[in-house]
Amino acid sequence: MDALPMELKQRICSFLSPKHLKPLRLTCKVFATAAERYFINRFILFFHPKSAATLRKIALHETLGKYLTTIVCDLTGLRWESWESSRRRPLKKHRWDDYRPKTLTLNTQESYAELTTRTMRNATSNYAAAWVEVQAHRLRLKELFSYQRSPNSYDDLGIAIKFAFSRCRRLRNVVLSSCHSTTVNKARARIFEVAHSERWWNLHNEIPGEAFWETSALESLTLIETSLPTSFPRGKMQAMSDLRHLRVRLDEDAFIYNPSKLRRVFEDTTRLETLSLFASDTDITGIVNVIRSSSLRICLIDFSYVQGDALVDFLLYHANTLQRLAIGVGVTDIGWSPVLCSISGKFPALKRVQLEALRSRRNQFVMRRDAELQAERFVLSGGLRPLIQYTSLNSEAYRSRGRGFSPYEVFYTELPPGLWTDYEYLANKFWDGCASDDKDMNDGEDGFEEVDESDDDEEEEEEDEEEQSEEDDTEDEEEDEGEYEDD
Amino acid sequence: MASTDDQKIILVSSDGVNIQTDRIIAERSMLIKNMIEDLGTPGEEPIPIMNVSEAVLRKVLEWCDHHKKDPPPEKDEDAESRKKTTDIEEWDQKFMQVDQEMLFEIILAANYMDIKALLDVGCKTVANMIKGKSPEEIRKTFNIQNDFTPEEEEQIRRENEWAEDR
Repeated sequence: MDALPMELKQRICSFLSPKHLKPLRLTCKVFATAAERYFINRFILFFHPKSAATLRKIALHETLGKYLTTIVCDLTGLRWESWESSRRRPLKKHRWDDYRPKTLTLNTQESYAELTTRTMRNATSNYAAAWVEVQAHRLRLKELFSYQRSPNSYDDLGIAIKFAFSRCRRLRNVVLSSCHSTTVNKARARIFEVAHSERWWNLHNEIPGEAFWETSALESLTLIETSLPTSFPRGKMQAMSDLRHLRVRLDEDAFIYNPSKLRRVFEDTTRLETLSLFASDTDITGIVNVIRSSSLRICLIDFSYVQGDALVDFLLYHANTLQRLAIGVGVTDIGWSPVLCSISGKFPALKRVQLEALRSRRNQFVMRRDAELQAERFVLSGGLRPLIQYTSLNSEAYRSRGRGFSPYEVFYTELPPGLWTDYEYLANKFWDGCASDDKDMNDGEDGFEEVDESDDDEEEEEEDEEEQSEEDDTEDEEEDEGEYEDD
Repeated sequence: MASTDDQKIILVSSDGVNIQTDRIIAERSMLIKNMIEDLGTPGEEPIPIMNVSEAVLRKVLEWCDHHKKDPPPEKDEDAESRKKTTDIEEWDQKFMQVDQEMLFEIILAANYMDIKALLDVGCKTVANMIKGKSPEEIRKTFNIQNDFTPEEEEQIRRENEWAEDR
């Protein structure tokens, strides 16, 4: 091993996670140095004063701070019930039965009475010490509970973050998330000194914005079911000016977002390369209206509603750079046919398109799988407009189709530094678990056919009802499934 | 004239042994590929591989032969962005079942001859030998001397607390 130069020892370390680098760093000085580059590339900042203090120590460290690229900020706090229950039922054990002497080992130096007295004294002393620890633990929980509810604590975290940005020159990635892997959840339970099974309180409180928005330019920002930092600066946001990768997942807690705040973040992202936006309950019109990047390559959006014209403008603006496009679940005010016709064959660099569970204009039906495949080819290569047919959301064919857009294929094969597989999965949770489909979208038959151009709402409704009843009768036959043409 | 695939070249190991091999095999090494391009007369002049002994060179060429149809190596990624998977394909695992001295010699040769894929297989093999071991077990495996003072060791322990457990 001595024969290997430092650069090769570092290369070996590059294949080891922090968990495996910990014992390696303890072997000798050379490996302690070789591991530095890969040891703390990201730091999970929990809502705890110790965590903020650790971030400051890393930032001050002469070498470890240099390699910090990412801060994951978690504002999850202790539930009031945790503190309350600890008053009634302390989390740390202090049962006398655990300390009571069970057996005595006789010896020649002590009489039986002396031995009994000494053993009992020791047990009583240990029990008392444990009781003191229980009280101390309860006090620490109370202090943590107070800390997390104090406005000063947000300043404390904000100052630590700002300090880290000022010291760590590679720190250019931020994850704000209330969802984490089990490993991170366990680490939080440890620092909070509560059981891993404890239920958490998602505070949705807001870190002062200057900690983020006024720091150096970020390369990536990931927001997962959490709120945005407050207090936006006037004018251009420095932090967003060089942003390359943006992930946003809103889910059912979308109400915590003020749409104007989100737009404020998006409108300065002029150099965005990859975007994933999962906003299942949100109208994203305001967002697609402001995103204008000169280099958007990958775009994955999932939403409840968007104005069709706004979506077309957004996609056509990025037509020359888009290489991968995925659109999921949403409804447009004009239906999908006009949108698809406007963008069909307009993307010279596009390699892959995926349309997933797109809804009819009234959100009653979902696009049929075969229609989606045809529509994907239509977007990619142009040609004749396909027949856009929909089926019931309750149909067996829809529920069992087992297909989803795999974010792995989009992002993970080329995951840039500062982005992390575990948070990529969480940011793209909707698609997680869905089987990926590697079908080459350029292959296969053309299968397009002309459709009636008429656009009569009443007719649609009648057709909807009629087809719905048809579907009930013939669930197993896809050809006879409820169908609804988009226009 | 023979095609590039059929051309033979001669490599000279550090201990002076001539080894004839196919150009396509040898060109898994970027060092050799660049030397051939610079010389412009493949096969006519033996190519010296200064830092690699015959035994190691033959072993390296065995790997190159097996991987001669692999896609050409991509530009080396930034060390920090390199994927951290330590998965090694089955043939490579068997290939790396050698004593430690040979393993490190292969890594050094791969580094010198600029064969990134082989270098990574070697480094991953060592990484897998480190995984799951205590500091003492790692020291024993690789014959490492503990050169920390108690204070330095305590400092490393404290720093280890700052890192994640993933």
